[in-house]
Amino acid sequence: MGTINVVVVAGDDASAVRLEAGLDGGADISVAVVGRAEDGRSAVEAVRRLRAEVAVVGLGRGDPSRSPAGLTAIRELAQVSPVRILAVGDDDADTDLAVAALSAGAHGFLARPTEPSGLLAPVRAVASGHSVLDGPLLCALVGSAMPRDTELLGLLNPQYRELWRMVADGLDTIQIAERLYVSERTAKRMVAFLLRRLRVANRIQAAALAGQAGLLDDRPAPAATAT
Amino acid sequence: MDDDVLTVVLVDDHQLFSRGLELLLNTDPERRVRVLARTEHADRALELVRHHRPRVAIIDLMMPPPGGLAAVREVKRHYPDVRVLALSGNDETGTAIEALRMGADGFLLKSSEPDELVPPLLAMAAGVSVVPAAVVAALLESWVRSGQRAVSDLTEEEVSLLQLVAAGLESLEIADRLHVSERTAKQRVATLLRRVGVTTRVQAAALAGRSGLVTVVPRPTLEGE
Repeated sequence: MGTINVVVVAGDDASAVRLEAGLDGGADISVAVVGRAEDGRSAVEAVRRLRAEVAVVGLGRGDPSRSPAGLTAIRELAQVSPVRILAVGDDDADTDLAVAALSAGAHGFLARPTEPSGLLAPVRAVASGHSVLDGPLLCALVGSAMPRDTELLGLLNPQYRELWRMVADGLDTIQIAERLYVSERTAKRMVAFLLRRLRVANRIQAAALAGQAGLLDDRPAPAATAT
Repeated sequence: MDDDVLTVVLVDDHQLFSRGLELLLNTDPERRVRVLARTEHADRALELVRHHRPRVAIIDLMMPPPGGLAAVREVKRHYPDVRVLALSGNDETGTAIEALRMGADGFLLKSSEPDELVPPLLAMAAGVSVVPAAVVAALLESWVRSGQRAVSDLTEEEVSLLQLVAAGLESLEIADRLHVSERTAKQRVATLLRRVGVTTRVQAAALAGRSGLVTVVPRPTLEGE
């Protein structure tokens, strides 16, 4: 096996030391360290200069008010060079941060390995063209890929599907009547018909069922706000 | 570095492929992998794992009944420590995700370059999951679509409150369940709605359904309906 050139991009010295330890003892791996993960440009330069195949990027602590350190570097690396990128999370990295790193262009995400040399096997797998994820992240992502009860969608004609959306959006009878250009009385009757057709007792259940059936999947889900 | 040899069993009805893979893995120049056994029958997967206790079981998903998915599930149910790598010639991401749901720790396409198979196997053995980029993309999409982003950070109490709201309970009923005043219950619900980025209880219910926190079972058809 040939040598794999790896550039380590870390937010601070302590993090650089830990990431380097993760690559300890790989005879086939040559490591160079670039500090300051915020600075995507120096990471890009180092990757070019050293002809690195893999960049290991440490993700700093999630400060909700700013983009976490490391994401910028991942974004810039993904844009300009064919280097393979492995993001490594800090102790408090959550699924959202992992998703952000992968969406920014990383080819893998791992929580920081607890054992020395723990990054060797993942780096080799990433270098050979595969994507790697740690177990908890895979579980969270797979858990979200739920099968939808799409049969329910087929029960209704387009007009009633639209009505179902309005109910799920929390519109009241008056708002629904306005949108459909019908009387309030008619709107009420239509909602009653919808609930009967869906075999649910009330609007709240109809809304939950809409989410479950995938009726709302074509639009962005609400995002959590920090407490 | 990787001192011990990685032990593997192969479950694949396609003999030619399976023999080829065995040969390839056993002749790795660095001798990092050893194939202990293979079978062509999905229903023998469990027996093979029980007998040989490999580190990794490689299971083809496209096999005659009971099929590869069932084999993955059986092996993981009885031997959660054995790492299962699912293989398929079919690049449908849905198939891969189904296998991962059944407990597979990784997924590779049969069309992967043979000399690119050993590194992912070693990463799998080291506890990391390996999947094709297209599968990661599909998983990210479903994560965003399913509304997990809004609910993944909720505390256990917040999740159960959201479930009560989504079940259609009124403030007074929620207050009773939580042993707090109606006023406090109302305040908690208002905070929760803000936290998940919605403005009404109905929207909260939709989010709960979308992210799988509640499951509504439509009542059964009555006779004559």
